[in-house]
Amino acid sequence: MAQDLTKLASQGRAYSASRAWNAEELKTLLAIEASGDGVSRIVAAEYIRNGITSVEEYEAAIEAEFVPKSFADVQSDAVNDHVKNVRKELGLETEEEDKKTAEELAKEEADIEAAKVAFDALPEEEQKAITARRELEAKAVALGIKVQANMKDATLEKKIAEHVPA
Amino acid sequence: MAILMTDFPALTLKLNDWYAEASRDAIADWVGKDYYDVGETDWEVFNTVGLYGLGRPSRVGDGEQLPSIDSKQGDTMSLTQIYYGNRFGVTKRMRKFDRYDEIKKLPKAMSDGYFDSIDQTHADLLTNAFAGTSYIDVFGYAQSNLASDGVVGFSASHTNNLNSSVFSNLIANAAGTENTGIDRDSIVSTIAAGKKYRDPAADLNRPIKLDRVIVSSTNYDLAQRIIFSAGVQGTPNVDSNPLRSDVSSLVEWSRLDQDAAGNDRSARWFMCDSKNVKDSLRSPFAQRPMMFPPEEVNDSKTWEWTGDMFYTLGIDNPKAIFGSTGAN
Repeated sequence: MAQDLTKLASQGRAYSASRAWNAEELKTLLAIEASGDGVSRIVAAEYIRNGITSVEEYEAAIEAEFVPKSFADVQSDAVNDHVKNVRKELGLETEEEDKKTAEELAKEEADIEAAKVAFDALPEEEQKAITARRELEAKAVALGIKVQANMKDATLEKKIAEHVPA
Repeated sequence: MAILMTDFPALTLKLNDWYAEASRDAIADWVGKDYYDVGETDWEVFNTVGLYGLGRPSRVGDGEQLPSIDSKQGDTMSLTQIYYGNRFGVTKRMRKFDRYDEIKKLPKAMSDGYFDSIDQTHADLLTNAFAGTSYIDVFGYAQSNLASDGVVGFSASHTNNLNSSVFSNLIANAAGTENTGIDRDSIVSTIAAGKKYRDPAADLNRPIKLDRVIVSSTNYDLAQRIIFSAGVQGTPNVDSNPLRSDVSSLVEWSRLDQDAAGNDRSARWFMCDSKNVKDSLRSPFAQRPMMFPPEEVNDSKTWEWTGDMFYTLGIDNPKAIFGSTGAN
């Protein structure tokens, strides 16, 4: 018998995808949820997963502005730590490199955001045309067709038709 | 006269008859089948899904399109079929000396072994669903005792996926003491608690009618007096006893007295909504216990009959069954 612990954990109703709450944890979870400051079960669950065992401890944690780490945070931290350690062992780790990577990532994110804004600003018809062209290109790439920017839609469609078995 | 190879078909028929006869009796005594959904399935993994909020219609204006039903999905659970089997042998000696007295016992022993084990697993899941997350079952393996909401089967804190309300299926008395020993107060209070149940999505009263009490053999006499005495049990009160109509039947289940691990569970007792309890307790069978004749004769010249089955069990949404450890 298997409960869907993955789903239950995402709803704050189980400790993790492989473990249910024990009786004490569940009691604390429901007590925090009912404590009156409007905290949701999902958020309350994060505090308990971070070691909070009573409403008093939860209140102290709030007072101390403690921010609990989510599973995703912990996983991401673990991966980053691992990568850092490997790079260190290989002699690749430098602060400058780290900084540069972070800057690059930030720039990349900003570029994506700018492209989204520009796309949203286009007239609807143009948006549709661009979306259709992208879909066509994706289909062609999936079939192993080399796509060139100056290739006309009709040419692409013809090449795709040739690749699709009858 | 010895049983010869030419007698094999006749012996098979006889063994089948004895197996069927024993199974018929065992099924009649199998209490768990009345509370668990023991329907047959072709699925190796049997998936269940709860639904909330079905059946609350909306007010509709003249000519207006009827709104689609407002249903909310509840918790899901998957039950994977587990294979069990064994065999018995009709030896050359048994056949040579025509030992029908010995042979006759074998299919009955096999049938009893299956149905006694199944019924004990059904009882054990109830008596072991008050704490922890699993226990060791009749077959020596860990069995989960959690309901589909990830909370142990009998708990004061059953959760749902729609809101923060919690639901208790622990038997309690009027003072709110949970896990009480069997007494009139607890039965009356728990019946009332069940009737007041509200659906988490529709926020409607959907009464759970706890009309059946299930007890161990140890508690059976006391339970009979509480439920069926003409007046209020244990008092000089001459009022009639309303429990006689509220509880439509009292069930004695001797397998509640002791679990497979040998723990005394005799104080534990249960109340259920007999019409809906099979939505709470699931035990689908992909194959009922069956006996098969030998397919080949082995070196020992023993003719070996085999038996096997596929089944599983678990607690779905536990709202239709309430329980008590009887500790308080």
